[in-house]
Amino acid sequence: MGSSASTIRPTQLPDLELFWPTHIDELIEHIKGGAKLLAGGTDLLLQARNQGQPQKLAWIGNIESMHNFAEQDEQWQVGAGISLGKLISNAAFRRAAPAIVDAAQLVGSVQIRNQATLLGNICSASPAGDTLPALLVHEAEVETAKSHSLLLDDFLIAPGQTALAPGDILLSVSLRGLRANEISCYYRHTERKALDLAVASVAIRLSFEDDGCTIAAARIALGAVGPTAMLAKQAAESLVGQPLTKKSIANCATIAAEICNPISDFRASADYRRLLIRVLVGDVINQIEKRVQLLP
Amino acid sequence: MTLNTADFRQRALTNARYTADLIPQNAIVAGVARSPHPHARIKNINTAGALAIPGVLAVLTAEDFEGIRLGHNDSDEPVLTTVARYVGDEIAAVAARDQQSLLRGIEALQIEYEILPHAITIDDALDLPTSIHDSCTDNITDRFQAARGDWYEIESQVDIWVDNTFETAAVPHAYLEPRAAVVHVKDDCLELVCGSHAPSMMADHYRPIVASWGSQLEIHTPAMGGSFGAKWQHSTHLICLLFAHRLQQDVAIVLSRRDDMIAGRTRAAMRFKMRIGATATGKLLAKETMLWSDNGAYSLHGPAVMRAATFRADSLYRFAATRSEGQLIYTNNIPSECFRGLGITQSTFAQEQLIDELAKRLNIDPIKLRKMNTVCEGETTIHGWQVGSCGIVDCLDSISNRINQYRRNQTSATNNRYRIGYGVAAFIHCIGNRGYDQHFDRAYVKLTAMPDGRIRISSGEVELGCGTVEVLIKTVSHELAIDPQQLDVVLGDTAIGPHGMGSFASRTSFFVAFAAEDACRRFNQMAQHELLQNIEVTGIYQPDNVVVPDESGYGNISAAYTFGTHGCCVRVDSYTGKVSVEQYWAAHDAGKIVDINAAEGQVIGGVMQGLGYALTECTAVDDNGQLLNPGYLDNRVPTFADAVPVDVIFADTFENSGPAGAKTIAEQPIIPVAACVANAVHDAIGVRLNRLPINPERVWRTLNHDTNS
Repeated sequence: MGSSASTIRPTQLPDLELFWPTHIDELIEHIKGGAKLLAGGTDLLLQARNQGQPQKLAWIGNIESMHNFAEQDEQWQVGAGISLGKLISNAAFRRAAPAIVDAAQLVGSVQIRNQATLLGNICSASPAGDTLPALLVHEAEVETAKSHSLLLDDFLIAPGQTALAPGDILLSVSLRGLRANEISCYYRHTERKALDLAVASVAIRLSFEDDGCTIAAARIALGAVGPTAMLAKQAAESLVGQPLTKKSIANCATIAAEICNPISDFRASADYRRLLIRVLVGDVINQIEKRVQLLP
Repeated sequence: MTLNTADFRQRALTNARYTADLIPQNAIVAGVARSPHPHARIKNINTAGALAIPGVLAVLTAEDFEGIRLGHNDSDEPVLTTVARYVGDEIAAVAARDQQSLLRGIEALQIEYEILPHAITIDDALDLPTSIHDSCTDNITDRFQAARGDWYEIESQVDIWVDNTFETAAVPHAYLEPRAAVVHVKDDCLELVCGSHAPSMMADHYRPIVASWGSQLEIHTPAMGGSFGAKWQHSTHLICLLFAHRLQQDVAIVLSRRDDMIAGRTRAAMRFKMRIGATATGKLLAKETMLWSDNGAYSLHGPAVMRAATFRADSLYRFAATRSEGQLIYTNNIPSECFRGLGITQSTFAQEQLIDELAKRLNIDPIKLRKMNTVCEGETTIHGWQVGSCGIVDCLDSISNRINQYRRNQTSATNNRYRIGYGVAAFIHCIGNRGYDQHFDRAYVKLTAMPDGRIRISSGEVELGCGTVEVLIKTVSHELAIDPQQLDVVLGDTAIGPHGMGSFASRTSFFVAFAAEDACRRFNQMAQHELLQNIEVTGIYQPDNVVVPDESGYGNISAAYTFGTHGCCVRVDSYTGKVSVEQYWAAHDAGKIVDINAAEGQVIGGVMQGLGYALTECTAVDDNGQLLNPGYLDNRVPTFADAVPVDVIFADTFENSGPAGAKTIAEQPIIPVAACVANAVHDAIGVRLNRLPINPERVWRTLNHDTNS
């Protein structure tokens, strides 16, 4: 029984040059030298295999500052090395950002979630990226090595395209955790229960007045219904200043379905995606109402 | 492949070795240049650029395989083609020292195409001004007709007709192991290692070709990572063989998942126009079927699948007259191939929905309507099938009881948004098919006493995951009263033999068990007067009650018949159209059950595969024939997370013509699934889903009376 030759199977990776920097400066040198930043690698290694590019990778696993995952004054910092699995298993984070955890739990499979990073999901800038609408409702800002921070909404430009300048890298994302009287939630529509892409998705964060029913503030973000995950500001505003009613929810859902901008492709038609947005907005708000009851 | 425990155990312990595990160090890698066009004549191929790349060793084109064909029946598929007939069709092959040189070599081939008009749908193919094959001007490559009974007399007795048109989708076989082949060069013999349903028959086909090059050929079949009807003669084999012969070095090819799906094989997409007539009291009288089957670009088992789909499902019921016509149509799609259930999986989707419709129209319980009309033990069906043991009534009753019990305990009631529905569907299926090969319908099992005292069991049949190895070990250890640990099984190795027809048509366990019994009888006889070390015997089984059917398909093609009924409870989200299967019941008459765990596993696997076919899988192709979902992300085969509870029930039957009273449980579990789900969806939302897959958008559109569903 012979052992197999190293490059014969199409599933095998081509030879890659791998660097293991321990400091950000060192990492940036490698990036300047043409290496790609390797975090979880769940997208990048497939690219390396299928397209033969990149051939040089610089892994961030040994850079301590990239593993920052902490909270201060309700602001959470998540470093580029933090996997979705780590987010999901952190109890404080689950309370602070339920929508992001809802989304992270739906990405790929257990193995992929333990490997893939939140910042990787951001950099891939897929219109259907699960964590992106959830991050938008948590007011995410990304921080790059060139040390300016950018609103996630401005960072996402088009499918697979971000505002990251050539040679620059993402260091972390900061997001606002829930305050008292706030709840967030993320739902998506897929045909399969795992290893699937959102056909449409909705994340919502609602802040309630002290009376526990009037909406003080709202953020709604939609996924897979435009070139990037998008905020639905008009839909969110329609909820503010009144309690949730069947009518106000339906009105909000209708606005969201109107302002989104889906395409038709083999996965679903634009019509159907709009319908899903309408249904999902209602479902997410219903779920938020259920979660509110569980608040202390 | 030498095995000495049940196949599933080898796999679970990761001891199984697949083709790609058997690639020698330093093997040459081969790959294929594929057409980007659905229909185009190749005007010129310039290979100079590819051959100039360091690491590229050789290039093959159609000229190198002049006159050689791959297909089983019509022999219309060349190894490498001068006319591309689907996107992915194979134009040239490259051999290289490594994968990177190979990919660069394929890219460097300059192929000039003359684009021809193409057809992606059956209707386009029938209207196409050009023919896809010169030999077939109207693109209808095969026709089949069968008529039984006095149609006009019976038609006049019909009180009620139900009719509809049904369309099924092409789906890939979705096996885990993509196509792979390895050729070892051993002196003047080329040894081909690859997965195959029928290595002996494949060797019969390839040997004269390899002999014309001055070489001999042997085929070894290692463990197969699934096939479900896909893995037969294939261009990759002859490409590797010719490269190995020319370069006198070992050659391997392993398709990427993407290539395997683009240029793999699919279950034929079919359109049925079907009607069933009955009396006002629910006695089935007449059935009429018109079938158009999308053959894709080449005829592999397309004709056999089309014929089976045209009429075989009729045999479940006591129709007094049937009229069936089938047409097999060339299109510029991926070639279709047999796939678990042959065409019966498709035709059952149509037939069992019409039976359900009839039950609703007559206000008769659908189980009761079936019980009134199914064939029984000792009867000969309208197509000449002689039914031995028959547990269909048991199966129908079990499903009825399970559903009633579940309904009583059901907590989630139908509401405005979520609608609950129940469905059932039944089937009949054969064990082998005497009509497949007029000259040959046997199985052989050879027992060889080895020098070390062990006994080798060998057969030309292969293990598809249905328990063939286990059946052989159990039978031989019982008949020879020998410790199973002393037995080795070698399957699908032409150097060891014996010749075998192959594993398909749910025939293998049934056939090899008898052949093994016969071999043991001969072995025991010889052991009375011969030294153990000198014993080598071959047992034979050929069922004595089967006949080659006539041209219209009439005749007893199988030694026994299997039956079953499935039931399910679905929850339909009427807002989004999403169908969730809440509970599934599968009752099978597989004869006496020999290994309950293996049999249940076979049923659950088949049901899950069927649910993918029913709900989520399809090959999405654009107007230009490009496959849009060449991977499992967008071709949604169910995952473990999608698994539903399946309650498996076996009817208590004993088949007198079967080994130890057993029949078989192989293809059967997939057959009624799509119909069962469609019937449950109809029960839930009152509209009939007559197209596959029953995906959320289609359900939503159907609910909203959108004609584009």
